[in-house]
Amino acid sequence: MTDLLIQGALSGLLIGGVYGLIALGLNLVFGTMRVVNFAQGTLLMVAMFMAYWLHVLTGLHPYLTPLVTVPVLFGLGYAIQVVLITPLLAREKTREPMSVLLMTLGLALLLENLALLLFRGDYKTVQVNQTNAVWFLGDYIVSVSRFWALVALLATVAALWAFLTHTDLGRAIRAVGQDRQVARLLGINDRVIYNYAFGISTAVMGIAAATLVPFYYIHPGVGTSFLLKAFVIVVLGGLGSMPGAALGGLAVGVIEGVIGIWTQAAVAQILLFAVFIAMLFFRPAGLLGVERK
Amino acid sequence: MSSQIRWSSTSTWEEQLLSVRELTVHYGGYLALSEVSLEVGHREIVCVMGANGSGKSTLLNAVSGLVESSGEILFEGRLLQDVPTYERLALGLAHVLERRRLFPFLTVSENLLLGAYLPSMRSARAQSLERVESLFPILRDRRRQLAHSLSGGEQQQVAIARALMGNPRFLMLDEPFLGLSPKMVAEISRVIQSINQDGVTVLFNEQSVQQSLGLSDRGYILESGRVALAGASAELLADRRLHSIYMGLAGA
Repeated sequence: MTDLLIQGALSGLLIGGVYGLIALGLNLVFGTMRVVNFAQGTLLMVAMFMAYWLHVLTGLHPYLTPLVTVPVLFGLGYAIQVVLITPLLAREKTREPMSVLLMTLGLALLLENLALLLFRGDYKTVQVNQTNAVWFLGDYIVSVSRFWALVALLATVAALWAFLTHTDLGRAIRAVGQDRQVARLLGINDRVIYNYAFGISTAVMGIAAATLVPFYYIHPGVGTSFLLKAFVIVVLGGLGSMPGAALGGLAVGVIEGVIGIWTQAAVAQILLFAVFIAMLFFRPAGLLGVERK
Repeated sequence: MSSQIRWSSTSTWEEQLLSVRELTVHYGGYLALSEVSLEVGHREIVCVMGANGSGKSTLLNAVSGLVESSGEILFEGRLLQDVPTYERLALGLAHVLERRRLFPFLTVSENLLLGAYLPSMRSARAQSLERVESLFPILRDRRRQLAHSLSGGEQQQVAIARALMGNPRFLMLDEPFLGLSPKMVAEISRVIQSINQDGVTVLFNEQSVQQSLGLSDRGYILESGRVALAGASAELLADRRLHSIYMGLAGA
């Protein structure tokens, strides 16, 4: 039994890497703009289709698709912010703009249906060397593709953290999230900072998609289940906290893996969302989040 | 402390660094400032005094563009209302808000670096950092500390240091002495005088009349959004009207 649980925790840890990447994108936008981006999961779906078609049409290995998808997705996110979100933000003066939140939900539905129209609703998969490959770690099985998903999470968190703490733009992104009025007084144009934040959070989906595509189905609705888990993760890890998103992602993966071994997968999902509601009641700032003024 | 350029009733805005004319600010239906006019000459220290709600913070916030205003705000003859807030620092105008407003979850050194965020300021960063750390030596020991963990006095020092990182010619301070110990008040006053001697013009707000007029060349007293009294600090201190306007606050 213990062996099974450890195996479950291990598999969970590895898929948790992907969850963490999506939560990271959600957190970057929320931390900067105070907008919960309901389109985050759909942007992952877009990124997965980009990776899929790149692989199918050019033969590019999914793991190399970020070279193309990351810059393109950055541009897409930047454009969404400029064209759709900024005009709404300018009209809403409150700190947590409701119309923007609803707009991202509308955008999610629009993109999902557009994908249904273009690619149909059948489930697509990609077969590469890593798809079914496993390594043995003592008595335990490690899925190669999931292992790389975990590595990608850790590398992306490290890179984002270095960017946010050691570059002028990164510091400005954090500053705007903490006090945009003071940021303006220091010469920072907060509107432009929002564009970058949304662009980066969309670009990160290119990395998540590259790691997912070798072992996960591709479908217009694939983003929704990831988005819901990402919500649980940001609440668990703390809204706006980068390390919280990464650790929360791993935690949710492990919880799923362990409980899935014990009982059926549906029970794991029920427990997960029960934890979500309990966290909101008892520790709304999350495990690593800091209470905001 | 006395400035080289004395203010006189015959001066025109061309000689002034900042010239505010008939400035009016509404918050919804509430009139926060009503036709306030004010001048600040090059290298002066000017204070704005008044009770809570008199409009003294609103005045500074209008100059940096955080609130919308009607009337004219001229900075070296340029109409500021046409300039977005984030472009005003590049003109040489810095503003330290009430209650310091550091970025709470950034370190002291990150806060300071953001003071010289603009590309034009980045090359001079090392010198600027050295200069502000010589003005506030305690900051050297606090570089890696998160801003929210500092004491009030230390936070005020970081806030002023951050504003000075961009080498402004004009510095506005909103209640710089609020909640500080007498020792820290003396420390901040010393720094204000020191940067003024280096050529920085200062406009600050304060409730305490003694504190303000001791430090400034000239003062304005606001009452319910209007200028009730203005003049050279020494004359204001002797003016009986000041005490009748201020009553209990005069000694505070």
